[in-house]
Amino acid sequence: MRWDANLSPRGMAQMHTRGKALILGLLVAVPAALAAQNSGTVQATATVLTPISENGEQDLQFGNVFPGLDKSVLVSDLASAGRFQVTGEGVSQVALSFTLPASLTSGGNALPIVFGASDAAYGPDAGTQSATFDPSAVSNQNLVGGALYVWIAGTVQPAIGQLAGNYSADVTLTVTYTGS
Amino acid sequence: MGRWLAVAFMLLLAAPAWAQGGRPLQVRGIQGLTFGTVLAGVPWVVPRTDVANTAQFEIRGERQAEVLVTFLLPVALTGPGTAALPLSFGPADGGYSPDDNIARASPFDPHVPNPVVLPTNGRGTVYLGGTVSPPPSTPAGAYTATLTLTVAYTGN
Repeated sequence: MRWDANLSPRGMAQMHTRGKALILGLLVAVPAALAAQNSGTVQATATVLTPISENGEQDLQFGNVFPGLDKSVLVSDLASAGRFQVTGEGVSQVALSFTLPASLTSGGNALPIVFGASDAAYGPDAGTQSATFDPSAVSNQNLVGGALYVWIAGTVQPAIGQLAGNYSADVTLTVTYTGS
Repeated sequence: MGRWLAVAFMLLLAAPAWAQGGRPLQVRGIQGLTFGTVLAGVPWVVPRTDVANTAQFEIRGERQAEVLVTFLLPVALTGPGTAALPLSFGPADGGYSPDDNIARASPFDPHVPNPVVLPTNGRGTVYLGGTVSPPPSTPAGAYTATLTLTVAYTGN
């Protein structure tokens, strides 16, 4: 817009009107641009509980075994049964799952082992067993104060011609939260 | 002229946001996405239809106007130290209802901008579910993330 010192009153009125139109246009255009979009936020939240850990504390020990004579370790034999310690969150439920060997080995020699329906047990501490369970099936149990102890027993079945030696095998306990 | 300019600036400072004939476009978060207690190693899902735990946003704008809803989605919640809790969203984890009825909300993929039409009262609700997948080694503790919803008129 060019200012002219000699502009006539009609010219001044025209300039005034055009100026108002420009300003009104800005009033319409700028707020529309500001209002075209808006955003809002919320939070996503979660609380993660203590991870599970398990520790093999004691081996399943059959001791001396004679060829041709089966030998069992009872799960109630706290000194000889295998024992695991499980730790986690509070009283969360966990799934206990064993991977059981079919035999112990010594070099290339195998010593058969079997597990009965009551050859596993669980309890709140290393000296207390609450109940037995079948180690061939998954067992869901609740932690007690963030811990649980699990025992495993079994029976070895040496053949009459079983060769002498030290036989061993791994027994694996897998523990997972069930979400319950 | 100077007087008109002064009036114009005063109006610009005082006026609310107007569009599409006069109704302001607003979006506000009503409820967060709450996974609650999660166990390490166990994935946890909050369905879009979980009225108590799904994220919810209210949109207010021009009656029967079409708006584009766009989410800014994080890939993880952050926790103690630098710990991260992976967060994912499925193709039906977003939902829109013109009558605040979560059960009848129309699902949509929250990864993609989605056009929705506001109802005759100009108010709609957007919902968002999701899944966390904590690895077994995830440290215990509280985890959070920010979910942002942006809405814009399409002009349709």
